[in-house]
Amino acid sequence: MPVPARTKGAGDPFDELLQLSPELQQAVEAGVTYYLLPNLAMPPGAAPARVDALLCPTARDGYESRLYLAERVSGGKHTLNWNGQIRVLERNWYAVSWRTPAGLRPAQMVAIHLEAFR
Amino acid sequence: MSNLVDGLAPEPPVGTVRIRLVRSLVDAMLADLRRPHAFAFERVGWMSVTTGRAEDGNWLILGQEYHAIPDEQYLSDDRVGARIGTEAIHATVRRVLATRQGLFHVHLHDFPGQTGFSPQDLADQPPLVTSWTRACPLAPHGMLVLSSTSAAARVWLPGASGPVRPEQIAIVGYPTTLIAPRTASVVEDAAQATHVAELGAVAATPSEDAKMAAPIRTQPPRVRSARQSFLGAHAQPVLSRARIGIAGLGGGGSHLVQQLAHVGVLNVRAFDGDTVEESNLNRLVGALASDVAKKTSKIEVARRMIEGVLPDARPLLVGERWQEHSTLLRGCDLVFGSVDTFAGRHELEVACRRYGIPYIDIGMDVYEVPGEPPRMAGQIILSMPGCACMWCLQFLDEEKLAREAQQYGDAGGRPQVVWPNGVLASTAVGIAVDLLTGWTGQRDTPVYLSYDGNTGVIRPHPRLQVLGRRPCPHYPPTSMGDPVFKRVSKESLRRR
Repeated sequence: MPVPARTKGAGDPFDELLQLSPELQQAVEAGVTYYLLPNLAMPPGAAPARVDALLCPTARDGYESRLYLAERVSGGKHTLNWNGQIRVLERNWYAVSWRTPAGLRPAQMVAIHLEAFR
Repeated sequence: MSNLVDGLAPEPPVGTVRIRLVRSLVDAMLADLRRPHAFAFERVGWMSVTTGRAEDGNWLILGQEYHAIPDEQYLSDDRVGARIGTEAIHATVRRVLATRQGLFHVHLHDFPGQTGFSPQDLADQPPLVTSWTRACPLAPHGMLVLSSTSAAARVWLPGASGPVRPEQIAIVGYPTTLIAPRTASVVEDAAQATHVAELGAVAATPSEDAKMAAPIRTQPPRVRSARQSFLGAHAQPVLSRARIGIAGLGGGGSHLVQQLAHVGVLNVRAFDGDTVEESNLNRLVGALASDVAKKTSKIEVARRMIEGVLPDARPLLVGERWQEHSTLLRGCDLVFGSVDTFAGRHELEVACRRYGIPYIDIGMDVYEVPGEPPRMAGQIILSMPGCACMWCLQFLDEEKLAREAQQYGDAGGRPQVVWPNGVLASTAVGIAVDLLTGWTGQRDTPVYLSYDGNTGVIRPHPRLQVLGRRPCPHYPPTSMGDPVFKRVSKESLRRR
């Protein structure tokens, strides 16, 4: 998924995430802020094509960021290690072991996480 | 607000509503309501509530914040204990409109024992509550009266034409007080679901979780041991009525099930999706060699133990992870966790904190130390809403969770034996019984016990000495209730 070009002068990095997911929502649990991206489009060939996703943009479980999905997604060339089955915000989520570098903007995090399914 | 003669007028029905109030909130209310006023005979206040849903949409009403009324907003009126001016009343409606949260009128009958609403209460307070239901019809509102040891409430549920009484009010702390309506001896969830449905409050069709949950047994066991009468006259009814959850029926959970049955707990809700394996037999209490060949589920082993001791018990045993039936967990008054992972403990604590449930965690491990005998260690932690959590106690931290996540699927067969599980579970059951009966008289007791399996010694964890009394920063009262997702918009981003 192409990362939207950063709007010149845009003050908030989550503005880009809003472009990716116009229905973007946030919630806090145990001091951690999560971003819900409803019905997020997966890369072409992935199944299902759309799935609710939850971005944890801060370090968790030894990862710089994590993207949790409402269901396991198949497709893509990578052998996926689904090592995260987690309950957050009263919902069950799944995550693959996929690392993102530190210092990314939230939309970049999402784009790199989605590379796992490409 | 005097002339306590509740009962002269027909009582509203008991609805499928449970109220949970963290003890620190109740203490704050009592402290304010007991303050003398220059001319009013008594004080009143408001309590903001948040909500959650248990099985079949049953309401959990969770006290969140108390709002004292400034002295100058009282009016002089000798006919009543307290009269509040229109400014304060209008402020409540504005609060309800702004927060979209439920609000309760709170006052105090400052004596020990059961309490109820006086005719004056029932004349004055419902119109106020009705104004809140008009301002925010999607939230439950109501009236709460405290005594020094008990409480009563009436709740206007969304869409209902009149109030209901909660099937239970829990004052959650050490000890935890479970208060049932005066007239209710046997609570039948399914019947109540139908009853409230007639009021238009909840769907009439019970969910699968609700079908599993009904009926709730509150009758004392047929045979009651006089040997535990020292727990107090009220102890057996409380233990019979309490819903106690257990996540994990392995080495620790099997001991918990067995002991809770002997204590007389009728309403156990336990969760485990595993079957008995050969490797379990060194520690799974109640499991037989024949269960391995039969692939008996661990919940069946639990059922056998419970019903063998308590034929009247109606345990609710779920052969899946609690996360697949979280609404059943929410309905519990107390939850034990006997799970293998730090992540699992964190998830249980999150769920219990969210819905105002005391959580008792037990666990053990054996560590290899080069050149030394193996070290066996364990813990018993009481995570009490409003008090220090497992993060405050530094039992959970990011490093442990990260290390565990990196070893996912590589845990292998970690050493486990029967006796430390027995020690930990026995201690935990003792804490639970004290929590529910208050027989030791201990109050506000933080519990973080370390078990040294090599010496057999259990002692308070040193962390308790430096913990202090600061509020838990990880689970503030605002984090209680069903999750609240806030829409992110360009405007909200600009406001940040």
